[in-house]
Amino acid sequence: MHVTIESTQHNITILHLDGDVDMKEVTSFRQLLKTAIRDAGPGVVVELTRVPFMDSSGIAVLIEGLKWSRERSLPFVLTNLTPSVQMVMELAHLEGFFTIAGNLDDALALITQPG
Amino acid sequence: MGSAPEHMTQPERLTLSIPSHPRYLRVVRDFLTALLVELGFSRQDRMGMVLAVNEAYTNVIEHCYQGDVTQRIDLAVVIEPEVITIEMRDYGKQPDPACIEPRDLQDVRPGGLGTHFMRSIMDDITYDLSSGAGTVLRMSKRRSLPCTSP
Repeated sequence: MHVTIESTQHNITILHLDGDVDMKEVTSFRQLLKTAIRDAGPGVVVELTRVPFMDSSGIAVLIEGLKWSRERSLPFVLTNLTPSVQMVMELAHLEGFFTIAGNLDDALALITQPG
Repeated sequence: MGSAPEHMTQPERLTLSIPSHPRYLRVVRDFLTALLVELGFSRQDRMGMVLAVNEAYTNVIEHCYQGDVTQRIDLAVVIEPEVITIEMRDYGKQPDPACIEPRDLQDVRPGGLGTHFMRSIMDDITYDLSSGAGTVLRMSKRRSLPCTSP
Protein backbone atom coordinates (compact mmCIF):
# COMPACT_ATOMS: atom_id res chain seq x y z
CA MET A 1 0.00 0.00 0.00
CA HIS A 2 1.15 3.52 -0.78
CA VAL A 3 0.06 6.66 1.07
CA THR A 4 0.25 10.16 -0.42
CA ILE A 5 -0.13 13.02 2.04
CA GLU A 6 -1.50 16.31 0.76
CA SER A 7 -2.13 19.62 2.49
CA THR A 8 -4.92 21.88 1.18
CA GLN A 9 -4.91 25.67 1.05
CA HIS A 10 -6.76 25.57 4.38
CA ASN A 11 -3.97 23.38 5.73
CA ILE A 12 -6.24 20.33 6.01
CA THR A 13 -4.27 17.08 5.81
CA ILE A 14 -5.50 14.53 3.26
CA LEU A 15 -4.14 10.99 3.23
CA HIS A 16 -4.75 9.25 -0.10
CA LEU A 17 -4.46 5.49 0.43
CA ASP A 18 -3.60 3.29 -2.54
CA GLY A 19 -3.69 -0.50 -2.19
CA ASP A 20 -4.88 -3.23 0.16
CA VAL A 21 -4.81 -2.46 3.89
CA ASP A 22 -4.08 -5.66 5.77
CA MET A 23 -1.78 -7.03 8.46
CA LYS A 24 1.25 -6.62 6.19
CA GLU A 25 0.63 -2.89 5.77
CA VAL A 26 -0.80 -1.68 9.06
CA THR A 27 2.43 -1.04 10.96
CA SER A 28 3.63 1.56 8.46
CA PHE A 29 0.11 2.95 7.93
CA ARG A 30 -0.36 3.35 11.69
CA GLN A 31 2.90 5.29 12.01
CA LEU A 32 2.10 7.50 9.01
CA LEU A 33 -1.38 8.28 10.30
CA LYS A 34 -0.14 9.03 13.80
CA THR A 35 2.48 11.46 12.47
CA ALA A 36 0.02 13.07 10.05
CA ILE A 37 -2.50 13.69 12.84
CA ARG A 38 0.20 15.05 15.15
CA ASP A 39 1.26 17.56 12.46
CA ALA A 40 -2.19 18.31 11.04
CA GLY A 41 -3.85 21.72 10.84
CA PRO A 42 -7.61 22.08 11.27
CA GLY A 43 -8.57 18.55 10.25
CA VAL A 44 -7.69 15.20 8.68
CA VAL A 45 -9.29 13.42 5.74
CA VAL A 46 -8.57 9.79 4.83
CA GLU A 47 -9.41 9.20 1.17
CA LEU A 48 -10.07 5.56 0.29
CA THR A 49 -10.91 5.49 -3.44
CA ARG A 50 -8.01 3.18 -4.24
CA VAL A 51 -8.42 0.70 -1.39
CA PRO A 52 -9.79 -2.50 -2.93
CA PHE A 53 -9.50 -4.42 0.36
CA MET A 54 -9.37 -3.56 4.05
CA ASP A 55 -9.48 -5.98 6.98
CA SER A 56 -10.00 -5.61 10.73
CA SER A 57 -6.40 -4.53 11.27
CA GLY A 58 -6.97 -1.57 8.92
CA ILE A 59 -10.20 -0.68 10.71
CA ALA A 60 -8.31 -0.84 14.02
CA VAL A 61 -5.85 1.79 12.77
CA LEU A 62 -8.71 4.05 11.65
CA ILE A 63 -10.28 3.72 15.12
CA GLU A 64 -6.94 4.74 16.61
CA GLY A 65 -6.75 7.64 14.16
CA LEU A 66 -10.13 8.91 15.27
CA LYS A 67 -9.06 8.72 18.92
CA TRP A 68 -5.77 10.55 18.22
CA SER A 69 -7.73 13.25 16.36
CA ARG A 70 -10.19 13.62 19.22
CA GLU A 71 -7.30 14.12 21.63
CA ARG A 72 -6.38 17.16 19.51
CA SER A 73 -10.05 18.13 18.95
CA LEU A 74 -9.55 17.72 15.20
CA PRO A 75 -12.25 16.57 12.78
CA PHE A 76 -11.36 13.17 11.25
CA VAL A 77 -13.30 12.36 8.08
CA LEU A 78 -13.29 9.28 5.86
CA THR A 79 -14.31 9.61 2.23
CA ASN A 80 -14.81 7.64 -0.99
CA LEU A 81 -15.29 4.28 0.70
CA THR A 82 -15.04 1.34 -1.70
CA PRO A 83 -17.53 -1.56 -1.39
CA SER A 84 -14.96 -3.59 0.55
CA VAL A 85 -14.33 -0.82 3.08
CA GLN A 86 -18.05 -0.13 3.32
CA MET A 87 -18.63 -3.82 4.08
CA VAL A 88 -16.15 -3.94 6.97
CA MET A 89 -17.58 -0.70 8.38
CA GLU A 90 -21.06 -2.22 8.33
CA LEU A 91 -19.91 -5.54 9.79
CA ALA A 92 -18.19 -3.69 12.64
CA HIS A 93 -21.25 -1.42 13.13
CA LEU A 94 -18.98 1.60 12.79
CA GLU A 95 -20.87 3.69 10.21
CA GLY A 96 -22.17 5.96 12.97
CA PHE A 97 -18.87 6.09 14.83
CA PHE A 98 -16.90 7.70 11.99
CA THR A 99 -17.73 10.83 10.04
CA ILE A 100 -18.05 9.58 6.45
CA ALA A 101 -18.36 11.85 3.42
CA GLY A 102 -19.45 10.75 -0.05
CA ASN A 103 -16.67 12.62 -1.83
CA LEU A 104 -13.58 14.67 -1.13
CA ASP A 105 -15.29 18.06 -1.57
CA ASP A 106 -17.92 17.12 0.98
CA ALA A 107 -15.22 15.87 3.34
CA LEU A 108 -13.36 19.18 3.16
CA ALA A 109 -16.60 21.12 3.57
CA LEU A 110 -17.36 19.20 6.77
CA ILE A 111 -14.09 20.57 8.18
CA THR A 112 -14.15 24.11 6.78
CA GLN A 113 -17.89 24.64 7.29
CA PRO A 114 -18.78 22.59 10.36
CA GLY A 115 -22.44 22.40 11.39
CA MET B 1 -25.68 -16.29 -6.44
CA GLY B 2 -23.52 -19.38 -6.77
CA SER B 3 -24.19 -22.47 -8.81
CA ALA B 4 -22.80 -25.96 -8.34
CA PRO B 5 -20.51 -27.28 -11.06
CA GLU B 6 -22.70 -29.44 -13.29
CA HIS B 7 -20.29 -32.37 -13.35
CA MET B 8 -20.02 -32.62 -9.59
CA THR B 9 -20.84 -36.03 -8.19
CA GLN B 10 -18.68 -35.87 -5.06
CA PRO B 11 -16.93 -33.15 -3.08
CA GLU B 12 -13.92 -31.59 -4.74
CA ARG B 13 -10.98 -30.54 -2.59
CA LEU B 14 -8.39 -27.90 -3.43
CA THR B 15 -5.38 -27.48 -1.14
CA LEU B 16 -2.69 -24.89 -0.62
CA SER B 17 0.20 -24.95 1.86
CA ILE B 18 1.55 -21.51 2.70
CA PRO B 19 4.14 -20.00 5.04
CA SER B 20 2.71 -18.03 7.97
CA HIS B 21 3.93 -14.74 6.52
CA PRO B 22 1.66 -11.69 6.02
CA ARG B 23 3.12 -11.23 2.52
CA TYR B 24 1.02 -14.23 1.41
CA LEU B 25 -2.29 -12.76 2.59
CA ARG B 26 -2.79 -11.22 -0.85
CA VAL B 27 -1.97 -14.54 -2.52
CA VAL B 28 -4.60 -16.30 -0.42
CA ARG B 29 -7.18 -13.62 -1.20
CA ASP B 30 -6.46 -13.77 -4.94
CA PHE B 31 -6.62 -17.58 -4.95
CA LEU B 32 -9.95 -17.63 -3.16
CA THR B 33 -11.42 -14.81 -5.25
CA ALA B 34 -10.54 -16.61 -8.48
CA LEU B 35 -12.05 -19.84 -7.19
CA LEU B 36 -15.28 -18.17 -6.06
CA VAL B 37 -15.62 -16.41 -9.41
CA GLU B 38 -15.23 -19.77 -11.13
CA LEU B 39 -17.91 -21.23 -8.86
CA GLY B 40 -20.30 -18.39 -9.66
CA PHE B 41 -20.58 -16.77 -6.23
CA SER B 42 -21.89 -13.21 -6.12
CA ARG B 43 -19.54 -10.27 -5.59
CA GLN B 44 -21.00 -9.73 -2.11
CA ASP B 45 -20.45 -13.38 -1.12
CA ARG B 46 -16.93 -13.31 -2.57
CA MET B 47 -15.97 -10.17 -0.66
CA GLY B 48 -17.34 -11.63 2.55
CA MET B 49 -15.67 -15.03 2.29
CA VAL B 50 -12.35 -13.52 1.25
CA LEU B 51 -12.50 -11.22 4.30
CA ALA B 52 -13.36 -14.14 6.61
CA VAL B 53 -10.44 -16.24 5.37
CA ASN B 54 -8.09 -13.24 5.54
CA GLU B 55 -9.09 -12.71 9.18
CA ALA B 56 -8.59 -16.38 10.02
CA TYR B 57 -5.14 -16.40 8.39
CA THR B 58 -4.18 -13.22 10.27
CA ASN B 59 -5.36 -14.72 13.57
CA VAL B 60 -3.24 -17.82 13.01
CA ILE B 61 -0.10 -15.75 12.37
CA GLU B 62 -0.75 -13.42 15.27
CA HIS B 63 -2.10 -15.77 17.95
CA CYS B 64 -1.29 -19.39 17.09
CA TYR B 65 2.22 -18.71 15.75
CA GLN B 66 2.65 -15.52 17.83
CA GLY B 67 4.17 -13.65 14.90
CA ASP B 68 6.54 -16.41 13.75
CA VAL B 69 6.45 -16.03 9.96
CA THR B 70 8.35 -19.27 9.24
CA GLN B 71 5.60 -21.73 10.15
CA ARG B 72 3.07 -23.46 7.89
CA ILE B 73 -0.62 -23.00 7.28
CA ASP B 74 -2.56 -25.56 5.27
CA LEU B 75 -5.62 -24.29 3.48
CA ALA B 76 -8.22 -26.58 1.94
CA VAL B 77 -11.39 -25.65 0.12
CA VAL B 78 -14.04 -28.36 -0.09
CA ILE B 79 -16.64 -27.76 -2.78
CA GLU B 80 -19.99 -29.50 -2.54
CA PRO B 81 -23.14 -28.80 -4.52
CA GLU B 82 -24.81 -26.76 -1.78
CA VAL B 83 -21.97 -25.66 0.45
CA ILE B 84 -18.37 -24.54 0.36
CA THR B 85 -16.14 -25.31 3.35
CA ILE B 86 -12.79 -23.71 4.02
CA GLU B 87 -10.42 -25.53 6.34
CA MET B 88 -7.41 -23.80 7.82
CA ARG B 89 -4.91 -26.00 9.63
CA ASP B 90 -2.12 -24.66 11.78
CA TYR B 91 0.41 -26.41 14.00
CA GLY B 92 0.86 -23.70 16.62
CA LYS B 93 -0.53 -22.76 19.99
CA GLN B 94 -4.14 -23.76 20.47
CA PRO B 95 -6.46 -20.81 21.08
CA ASP B 96 -8.04 -20.01 24.40
CA PRO B 97 -11.78 -20.55 23.79
CA ALA B 98 -12.45 -17.13 25.34
CA CYS B 99 -10.31 -15.52 22.64
CA ILE B 100 -12.30 -16.95 19.75
CA GLU B 101 -15.61 -15.56 20.94
CA PRO B 102 -16.62 -12.28 19.29
CA ARG B 103 -16.52 -9.26 21.58
CA ASP B 104 -19.17 -6.66 22.33
CA LEU B 105 -19.18 -4.18 19.43
CA GLN B 106 -20.55 -1.41 21.65
CA ASP B 107 -17.06 -1.23 23.10
CA VAL B 108 -15.40 0.55 20.17
CA ARG B 109 -11.68 -0.11 20.30
CA PRO B 110 -8.96 -1.47 18.02
CA GLY B 111 -8.66 -5.24 17.82
CA GLY B 112 -10.92 -8.23 18.26
CA LEU B 113 -13.10 -7.60 15.22
CA GLY B 114 -11.79 -10.44 13.06
CA THR B 115 -13.66 -13.20 14.88
CA HIS B 116 -16.85 -11.16 14.72
CA PHE B 117 -16.41 -10.71 10.94
CA MET B 118 -15.87 -14.45 10.44
CA ARG B 119 -18.99 -15.37 12.42
CA SER B 120 -21.08 -12.69 10.70
CA ILE B 121 -20.11 -13.79 7.21
CA MET B 122 -19.96 -17.57 7.39
CA ASP B 123 -22.90 -19.86 8.17
CA ASP B 124 -20.98 -22.25 10.39
CA ILE B 125 -17.61 -22.13 12.16
CA THR B 126 -15.95 -24.87 14.21
CA TYR B 127 -12.55 -25.17 15.86
CA ASP B 128 -11.18 -28.71 16.00
CA LEU B 129 -8.54 -28.99 18.73
CA SER B 130 -8.59 -32.79 18.87
CA SER B 131 -5.17 -33.33 17.28
CA GLY B 132 -3.52 -31.90 20.39
CA ALA B 133 -1.11 -29.85 18.26
CA GLY B 134 -2.56 -26.91 16.44
CA THR B 135 -6.08 -26.28 15.27
CA VAL B 136 -8.29 -27.04 12.31
CA LEU B 137 -10.69 -24.18 11.69
CA ARG B 138 -13.64 -25.08 9.45
CA MET B 139 -15.83 -22.35 8.01
CA SER B 140 -18.79 -23.17 5.80
CA LYS B 141 -21.09 -21.12 3.65
CA ARG B 142 -24.15 -22.34 1.85
CA ARG B 143 -24.84 -21.19 -1.66
CA SER B 144 -27.34 -18.36 -1.93
CA LEU B 145 -30.72 -19.36 -3.27
CA PRO B 146 -31.52 -17.99 -6.71
CA CYS B 147 -33.80 -14.97 -6.75
CA THR B 148 -37.31 -15.72 -8.00
CA SER B 149 -39.62 -13.27 -9.67
CA PRO B 150 -42.83 -12.48 -7.76
